[in-house]
Amino acid sequence: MDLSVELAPKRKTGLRLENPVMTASGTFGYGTEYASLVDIQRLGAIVSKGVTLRPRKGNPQPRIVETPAGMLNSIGLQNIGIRAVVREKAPLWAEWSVPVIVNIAGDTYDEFRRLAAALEGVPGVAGVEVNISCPNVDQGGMVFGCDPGMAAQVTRCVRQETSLPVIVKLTPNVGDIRAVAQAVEEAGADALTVANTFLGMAYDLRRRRPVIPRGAAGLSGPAIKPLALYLAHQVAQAVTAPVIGCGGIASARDALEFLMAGATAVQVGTATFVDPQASIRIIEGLERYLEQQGCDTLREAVGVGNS
Amino acid sequence: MRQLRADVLSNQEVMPGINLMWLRAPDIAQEAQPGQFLMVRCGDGFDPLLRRALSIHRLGTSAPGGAAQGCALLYGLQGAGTSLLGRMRPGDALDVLGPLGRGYTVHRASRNLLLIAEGWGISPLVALAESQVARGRSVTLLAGAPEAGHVYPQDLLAAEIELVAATVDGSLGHQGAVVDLVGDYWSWADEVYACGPWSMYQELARATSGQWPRKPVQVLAEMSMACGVGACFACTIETRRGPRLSCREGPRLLLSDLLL
Ligand SMILES: Cc1cc2nc3c(=O)[nH]c(=O)nc-3n(C[C@H](O)[C@H](O)[C@H](O)COP(=O)(O)OP(=O)(O)OC[C@H]3O[C@@H](n4cnc5c(N)ncnc54)[C@H](O)[C@@H]3O)c2cc1C
Ligand SMILES: Cc1cc2nc3c(=O)[nH]c(=O)nc-3n(C[C@H](O)[C@H](O)[C@H](O)COP(=O)(O)O)c2cc1C
Repeated sequence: MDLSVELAPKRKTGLRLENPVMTASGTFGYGTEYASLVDIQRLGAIVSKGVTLRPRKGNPQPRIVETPAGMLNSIGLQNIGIRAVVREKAPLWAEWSVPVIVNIAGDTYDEFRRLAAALEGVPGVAGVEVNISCPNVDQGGMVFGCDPGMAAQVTRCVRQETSLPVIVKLTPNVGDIRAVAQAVEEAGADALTVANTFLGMAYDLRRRRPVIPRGAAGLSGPAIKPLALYLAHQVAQAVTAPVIGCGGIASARDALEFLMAGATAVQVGTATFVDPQASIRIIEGLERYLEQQGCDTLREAVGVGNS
Repeated sequence: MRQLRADVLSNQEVMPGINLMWLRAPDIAQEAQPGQFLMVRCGDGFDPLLRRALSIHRLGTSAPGGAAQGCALLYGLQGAGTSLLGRMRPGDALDVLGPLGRGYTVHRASRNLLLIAEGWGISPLVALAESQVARGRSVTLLAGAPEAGHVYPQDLLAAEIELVAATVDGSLGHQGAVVDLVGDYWSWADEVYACGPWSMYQELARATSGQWPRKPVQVLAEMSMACGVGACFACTIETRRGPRLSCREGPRLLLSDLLL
């Protein structure tokens, strides 16, 4: 039985995963935190916490609040910085068979460039995922991913600095996600992750203020699955690059929906908090599905939909 | 750290709105240290979604039927998650993750331990008290509650543990805050441990700043958590020594390191 997928078909090196189930950035730390609970080498790939040029402390508390079938988060990219990632984490990853993809986040084009350059040729790094849901400090704080031109420019900056496969992670908080997807593909993205968290809010009735100090926060979890599925479907129709579905995936059934909507792979985020075995259960569920369908490959099993 | 389905052995209200649940969880009971916690899945649907952090309340032999490998939780019925826990019956299975975090530490040479609790903060301190009297140490447990009915039932505690109550309405023990009692025991204590709401830590910092000699106070600093294992960075606490993850680098921190 073959569950493998290729995420960078246009790269010479490619980015082949043994199976299409990845962990989503920010929900699986640097890959080590869950290692005593989860057989991480069985995962299709691990995506690291978002990494910035310098270490970041993150946002004030409270950083999370639960909402119906979901959660809002405003972590503020707390991370150890790219240097520590290269020095302390990558050597561990180099010994693993599971590919590790580093998620990067910058405030300016130049920061994205330097982040990509810092990862070039580092053993243990299998690819880069570019988080374009960050505000562009040089342009009044407008989010890179909300504008096709800015999104394409970030992609070009990263592309120029690295020979690694480049995945661009889109924000769902835009009017027409297809325009951004097409711009990013044209700028050289090998694959697209659809999508990051949806903006949302919750109020503290006692304090009569938003629970999260910044007000807005990112909504994730089962509550967003139909929304993310719709966006993944839209993007898959608009580009030829592989699409990685992400948003509320908690079961093999959810994963199959994204695959049928045209995604090549999926990422599991919040569901891991609920059940650390979620990704493994999804892989096993996909294997069972192939068996039931009497198919040898994933493509055969789900390739009928796409409309 | 493991994830397992633990059988519920008993689940009873022991104070108004506060339940004590015993689980059969030999693997966890063997590893766990007082002050550590479990991430508990409440129900099996998506609402509530996230696991709830609950301190390990007791370990070992006091489980119903004398089951040697038990582990107890003490929880207030606060919201959706704990309400679902309140409905579980003996024989049901609970999906738990743990033991997690860093628990209290006791210096080998210490003889006399002072424990200070408010509300369900008493939960982890009972585990600490029981494990230490079993090792021959003297333990005084100061317990603050709104009124007598909310003071931890003495008959559930090992006889060697001295429980001193403070109630807001004076219906049992000292009338006032539990922190008022600390001065009486300060010089006796070799080490001091606390668990309670943030407001108690503020009062405690004020009350102990004038005490001599200085003694480190180990507290459990609890923040909302999503993963419980250090992967999501939700539970970061700013301390005088920099940011600390409550779930992995805590929940035990020194009172003097908290920015209160
Ligand atoms: C390490 C650690 C150990 C812990 N140990 C224990 C323990 O031993 N025993 C124990 O009882 N608890 C313990 N807790 C606390 C417990 O995990 C939380 O209180 C948990 O959220 C309870 O879940 P729930 O679903 O019952 O309540 P929730 O629904 O999470 O509600 C908790 C409280 O928040 C309030 N609230 C919820 N949403 C809002 C809003 N929008 N605005 C204003 N208020 C709101 C609710 O009214 C309620 O009072 C611990 C926490 C940590 C981090
Ligand atoms: C606590 C938390 C932290 C996150 N951190 C990042 C991050 O650093 N970079 C990023 O691109 N996405 C981050 N995300 C978004 C997730 O990777 C994912 O896109 C989103 O949660 C939707 O998937 P889910 O519903 O399966 O969680 C974070 C999500 C959560 C819940």
